[in-house]
Amino acid sequence: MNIVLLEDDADTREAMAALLSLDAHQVEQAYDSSSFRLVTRNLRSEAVIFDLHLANDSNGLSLAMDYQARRQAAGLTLAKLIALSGSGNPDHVIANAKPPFPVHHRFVKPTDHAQILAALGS
Amino acid sequence: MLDLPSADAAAPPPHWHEAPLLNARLLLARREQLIRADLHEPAAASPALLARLTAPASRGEMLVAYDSSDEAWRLRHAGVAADTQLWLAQSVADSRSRLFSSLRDMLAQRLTESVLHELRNPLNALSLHADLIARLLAGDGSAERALPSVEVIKQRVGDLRRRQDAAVALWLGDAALAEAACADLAAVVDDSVRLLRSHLALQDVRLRSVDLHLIGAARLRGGAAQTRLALMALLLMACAGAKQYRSADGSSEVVLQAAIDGRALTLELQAPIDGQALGREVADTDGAGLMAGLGLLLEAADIRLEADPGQALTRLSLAAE
Repeated sequence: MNIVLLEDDADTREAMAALLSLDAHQVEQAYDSSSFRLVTRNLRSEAVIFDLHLANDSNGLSLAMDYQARRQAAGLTLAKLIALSGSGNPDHVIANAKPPFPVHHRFVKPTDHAQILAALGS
Repeated sequence: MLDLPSADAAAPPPHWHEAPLLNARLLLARREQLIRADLHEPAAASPALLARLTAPASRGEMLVAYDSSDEAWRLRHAGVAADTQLWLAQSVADSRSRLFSSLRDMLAQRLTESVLHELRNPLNALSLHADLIARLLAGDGSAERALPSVEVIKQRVGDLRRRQDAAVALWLGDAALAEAACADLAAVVDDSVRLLRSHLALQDVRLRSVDLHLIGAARLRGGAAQTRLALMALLLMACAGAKQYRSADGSSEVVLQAAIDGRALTLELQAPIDGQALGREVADTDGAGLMAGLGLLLEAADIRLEADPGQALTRLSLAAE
């Protein structure tokens, strides 16, 4: 599966990308809004794993929503969205934001890699 | 017995007037009698001081008195009730001690919050790298491929340990240690910068130190714990200020620079200072009162504090030894 991983913590991002690659996924990495737009410009990713709270003032949820809108406008099926939260209940954050597209899975850090794999496969 | 200062006594420094009187004792001055409101008992005062305290005064007016052991007291007029003048009174040493405790609790809370808030991110990195090591070793068994992850784990554990040390050092900080004389100023500055660096990093504010080696072997005359705390409070407020005033490229920076002019050593903190949050919670007063409180703490180490909000500059001056 083609996956884009949006995470500002470099250690976390690299480890997660390495683990997903070991499971035969193709992973593009992004850490803020401009790198995210760059790696998603061809709309190839079928799943987005994103951190809700990025330290650099980028908003993971709105970037994921923007990606879904671009895929929808291009006539593509929606990507699978997996949200990660390092500082609180992701359900509350997402409910308060009232996003236009559903977030399929939400996890609180530290994440269990097996759960991420299960979410990707479900 | 409290008495007015002798005519030749030096005038109290300006910050004594503005520094907050936390939990100060209330004195009732009426009919040539001074009464401690908490005990309903007379308090000893010289006739000259009593005459001054029972005379009409304007709210907020400040007096300095000395007790029989020559300890300085600050008295602030708090109002009038019928024929009674109300004065808040506190020894300067007690003011310092209460400010120290209040400020330490606030700083410890802030730093602990930032550690707890961010704890899940380092834990996530540790957990994922542990998973990765397990996978790599179970795969081709090559330990070498796992070495970068081992290095990440070591670094992140070290970072967590430093943050925990910072919080513990603050919680256990002892105001009584403040009077340890001749502390190493460079070590005090190092401690303060180290304790705050991760907090600034979390706020995406860069802390740059310039020429701190000039501090050299300068010694503090006392008040090491209070100096450390005052420096940390200033750095915290500088961080809050810098965060609000980011430059066009979105970056913000706090600069701590040492300079020597003759025998005078100065530490300049270059950043806008935002004392609002700390001011309200620590000093129950405004930013000026909080800066005066920090001045009172630094005074214990013979350090003078000058703030120039217009230049976003705070200067600490001390005589180098």
